[in-house]
Amino acid sequence: MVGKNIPFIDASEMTRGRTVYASDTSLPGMLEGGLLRSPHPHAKIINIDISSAEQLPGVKAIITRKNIPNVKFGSTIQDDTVLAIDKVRHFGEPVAGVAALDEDIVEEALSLIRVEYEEIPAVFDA
Amino acid sequence: MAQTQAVKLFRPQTYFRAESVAEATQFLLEHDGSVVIAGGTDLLVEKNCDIVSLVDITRLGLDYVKVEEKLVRIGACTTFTQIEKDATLGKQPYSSLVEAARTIGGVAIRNEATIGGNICNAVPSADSAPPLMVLDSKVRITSHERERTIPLDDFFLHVRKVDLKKGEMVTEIHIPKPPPHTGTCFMKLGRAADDISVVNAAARVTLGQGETLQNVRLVLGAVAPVPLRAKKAEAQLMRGGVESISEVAETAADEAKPISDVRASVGYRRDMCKVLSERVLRMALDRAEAS
Amino acid sequence: MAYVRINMNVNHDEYQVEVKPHWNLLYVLRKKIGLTGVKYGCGTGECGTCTVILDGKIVHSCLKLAAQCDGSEITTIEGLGVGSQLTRLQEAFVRHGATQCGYCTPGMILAAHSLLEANPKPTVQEVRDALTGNLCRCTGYQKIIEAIMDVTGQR
Repeated sequence: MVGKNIPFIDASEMTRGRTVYASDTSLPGMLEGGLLRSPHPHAKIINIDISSAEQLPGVKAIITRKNIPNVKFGSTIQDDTVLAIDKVRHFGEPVAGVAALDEDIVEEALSLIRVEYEEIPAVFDA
Repeated sequence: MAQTQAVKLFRPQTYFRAESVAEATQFLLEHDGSVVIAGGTDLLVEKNCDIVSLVDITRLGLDYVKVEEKLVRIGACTTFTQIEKDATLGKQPYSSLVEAARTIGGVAIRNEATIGGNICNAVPSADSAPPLMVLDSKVRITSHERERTIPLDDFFLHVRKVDLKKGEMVTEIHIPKPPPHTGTCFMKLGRAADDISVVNAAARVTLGQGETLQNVRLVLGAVAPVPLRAKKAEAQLMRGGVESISEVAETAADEAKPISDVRASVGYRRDMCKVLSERVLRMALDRAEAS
Repeated sequence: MAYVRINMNVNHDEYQVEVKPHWNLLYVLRKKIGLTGVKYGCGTGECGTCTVILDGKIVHSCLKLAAQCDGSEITTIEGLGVGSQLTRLQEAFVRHGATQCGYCTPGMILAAHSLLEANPKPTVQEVRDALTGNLCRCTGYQKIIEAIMDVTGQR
């Protein structure tokens, strides 16, 4: 084997676009999901109102801090929660999740979720 | 302070394919929140949530480059690939436009992005603007009732704001044929090949009798709300002659009003204004002398 | 909201699809027609993983409104080659190790294919310029360029 040109086992399927990545999978009954992310780097979450989003046809589930297990995770320090709980600690931290029949409905549902934030100070450079 | 998040969506309700300029302008006039779409390479990135209708103007035959005796007419829907390949535009004194076209995105972007779109989006860094402006280009604006043609310099009002009224669309860009012994040059500073310009610049030099300067233009992009005519620098160059190019470049850098953003700081942009101004002026002069 | 009916020829097959005005071609190809070889990478026309050939030219399908594609002829990566036989370009990618994760590969191959149709003997710089709109985070591009130059009979 040493000194020989051995092509990657899946190289030819990659060149044909046949490789199935996670986002290429399609299973019966599969839903599409999306996350609502914080627009603030540091803010208290006062309230999350999912009532309009829930009523959108095609929405199958919405989760917020009310629905997540009481666990913390992380590779080195376990300080991350599944969704933001009492406050968001970075721009883009997930606050809610939606599962629906297609991407359009997911997007629309996310746009209907009303989150009340109270911004708190953050440090950007020292 | 409590804030409620409201996420708006890009959801145009109607797509209308115009079969004529008259149809397009009529639709624009009658429908609030309607905008034209050609290549869509900016529109589908910006995804402006206020858009209610899209008017497709790609089948109106507005992609052409017509060379006439006194001017070159470029259809508003001419793609940058078409501009790159045009024989007339590829030669001086027009070739600074091709120099600019080549720096816009990659091949796939240029195959769809149009010169009209670049102008009408009116971002300060629009790469086709400086080369068009140094050649005193004009914009032909068509509405259902009339046509008007205005200097490109006056078309740009502010960031993403142009002199277009409801029911109007740009149909053509005119480049008047410059006098002989005219040289132009475009340069762009970006971080990588297909970046949005940090600073861009174009210059035009027209020589008169005995190699004196007859007419000069210098335009800097991405350093003001609109592409900037460095008029003080131009005047100084006319007074001081070619020996003053270095000082002229400094004047241009002072005229610029750059900001700090994700791409560069104020200071760096100002420094680069001087560097690019000097380079484009010298190259335009060389090309004028060679012509 | 008014759906738009479009007729497209994709990889030599005819399709009729009802599209919403805001849908882009990438979405329609992947989700409505089921061609997953064309990828979503950035959604802003910078990475090139969504590259397709539209009416003879490469475009970023994430920036192409589906409604504008009525009457168009489209080639995706699945449309290159015959059956399971690789084109010379695809073979060269395999031989030179020009794929790692493979995500950029369909777009790269279409961009290279399009280049070679117009310019069968490009210089290395011309290849680099032609691939400006296709990003690769794995290979560092060297093997990709070698594969393309190999196909042109140049080193």
